[in-house]
Amino acid sequence: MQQEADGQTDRLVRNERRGIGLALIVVFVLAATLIFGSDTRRALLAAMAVAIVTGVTWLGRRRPIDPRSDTPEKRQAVMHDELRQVAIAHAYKWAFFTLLGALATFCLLSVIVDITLPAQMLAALTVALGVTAFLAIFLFFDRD
Amino acid sequence: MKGEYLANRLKVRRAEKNLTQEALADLIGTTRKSINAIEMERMVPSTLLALKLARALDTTVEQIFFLASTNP
Repeated sequence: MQQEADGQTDRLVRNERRGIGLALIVVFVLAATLIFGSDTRRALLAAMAVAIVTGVTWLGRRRPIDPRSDTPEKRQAVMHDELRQVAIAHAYKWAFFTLLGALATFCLLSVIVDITLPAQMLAALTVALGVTAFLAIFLFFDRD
Repeated sequence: MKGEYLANRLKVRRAEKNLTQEALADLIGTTRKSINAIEMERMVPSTLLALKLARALDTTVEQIFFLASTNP
């Protein structure tokens, strides 16, 4: 029995995953721009983020989804997919523990080593780490 | 200690009905990815999805899902 490797629902799922993957890369690059201080590096990383967004958008346009197949039922099936719900639950849990672990490690390190980070940057990095961990874990558990 | 896990005969039942994963997914309003994950026993479906699967394959839940023992 052959599988329909390129069904319309599969393409919807792939598009969703591509969008999430893109968000992951952008958040990761933005976090990197925060970490690397020099203006040149920041500009380079920001340019990289723009290039990634442009590239992925262009790739997505090469094979558009047939609008007749993009029905509300199919979209609902993708959004309420059980594997997706399970992946979201796993991602919430593990992203939370990743954040706790990272903050605990940071606290311990700050006792041993003198770390001087502005509160704003620390908050931004915490958010970036949480989002990155959530998206990466979600993509892992939601894989085919 | 001997453990138990939820095994299934979904692939066999689906083949008997000559359905692809995509066709079965469309019948019950889910995605091929979920059907594949259930068949590979990477995911335990909800009761609702199990009942929908049984209805789509004209069988009972017990005919598709059963308890299997892990090796000690």
